[in-house]
Amino acid sequence: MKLIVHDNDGMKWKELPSKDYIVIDASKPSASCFGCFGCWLKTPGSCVLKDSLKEMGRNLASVDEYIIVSEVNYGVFTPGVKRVLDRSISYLLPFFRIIDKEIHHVPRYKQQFDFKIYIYNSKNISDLEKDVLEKYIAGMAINMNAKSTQVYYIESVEEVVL
Amino acid sequence: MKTLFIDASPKRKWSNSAYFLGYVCTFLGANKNDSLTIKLPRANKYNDVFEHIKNCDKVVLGVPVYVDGLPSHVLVFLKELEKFCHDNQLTFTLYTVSNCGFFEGTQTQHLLAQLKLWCDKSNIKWGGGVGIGAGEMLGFLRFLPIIFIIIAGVLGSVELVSQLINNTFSVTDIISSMGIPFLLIRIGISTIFSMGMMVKLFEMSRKLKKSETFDCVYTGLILCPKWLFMALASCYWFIRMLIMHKNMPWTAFRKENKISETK
Repeated sequence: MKLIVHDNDGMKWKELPSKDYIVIDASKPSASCFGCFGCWLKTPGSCVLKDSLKEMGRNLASVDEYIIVSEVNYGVFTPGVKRVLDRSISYLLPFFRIIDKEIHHVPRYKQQFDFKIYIYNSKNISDLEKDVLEKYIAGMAINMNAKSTQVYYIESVEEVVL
Repeated sequence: MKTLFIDASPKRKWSNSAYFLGYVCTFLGANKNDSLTIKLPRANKYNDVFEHIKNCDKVVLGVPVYVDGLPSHVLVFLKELEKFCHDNQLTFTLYTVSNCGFFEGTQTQHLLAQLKLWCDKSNIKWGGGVGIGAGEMLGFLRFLPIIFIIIAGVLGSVELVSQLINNTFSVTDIISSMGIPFLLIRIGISTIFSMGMMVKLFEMSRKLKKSETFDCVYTGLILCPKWLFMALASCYWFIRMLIMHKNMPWTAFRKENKISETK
């Protein structure tokens, strides 16, 4: 199963079979994480906010490929895509472990996913911004316990390989 | 008004970002005419913030790290602010105090790099950033002296009641039951843990005062080994989930059924 988080309707996401794909349209309004830690302490494993992003931890635990399709702003994803990521920390435990002498979260699930990130409208992204983005994604991939990470710079969302 | 402090944490009360900004503000020793601290409002209600920024030559942003980068609600604000800066040709200097829950302050580096990029795109001068590790723990440590004093008070009261029951009264025994030396040692240790953060924020306030810029500096808990931090953090989460949410510690490890298993 694959999870797709996108902020652009350029692809016919709705035509993808639901038994193989979970598709989240990050351009639709949803609440931002407000840092209550409820998904770790009050309702461990799921967010306390009752909307479509409540079960992001469960979604991540169910897939072996996680595809993000986003533009980039200031070396980070668009606010909608970042909102989905911020609401996903129930996938992890609040506890810590050491990886390469740095402290990171302990995963809640054994399942790991391949992380594929497609950045569209990428023609005018500077090398500096790419560097900031790639370091940020590498750090996030360790914290999210990803099995592998690939970043693709594309012009149009139609170039996304599913 | 010259310096605006913006607490960009989404927490309404007791935000760690506000706590760290409070140190910079205090060390700066600015009066009410020179500085103002505000909370970042919800989306689409930024007009007041923009008006304040218009009248400032320095802005200090207190912002937590969310999943290694800028939180989504701050990105929404920054996009609007970028447009406002271009439209009004603003020329303030942006300083940042960022904190993350991990031990290493260096794990705020991606967020600070993202803010530097925002400055480049908005034609705003980057003043510098302090990245603080163990932000949640340092935020909690501010309450520890109060908790220790309450415990000492309770122990002293218990001793007083037992003396009254036994028809005796000894001030020395009451003071000794409160464990004053141990109380002072415990308060001292929790203060020492926070000293690295205090020193870096003091240095930042000096730079701010002189309108000097710097790049990024990182700090966190000092004199605390990583294994102790990990053990204390685990205890903190277990106690918090038990006291605040009445959840047993082992429920923290709960797993949701995978979607394929429920279909």
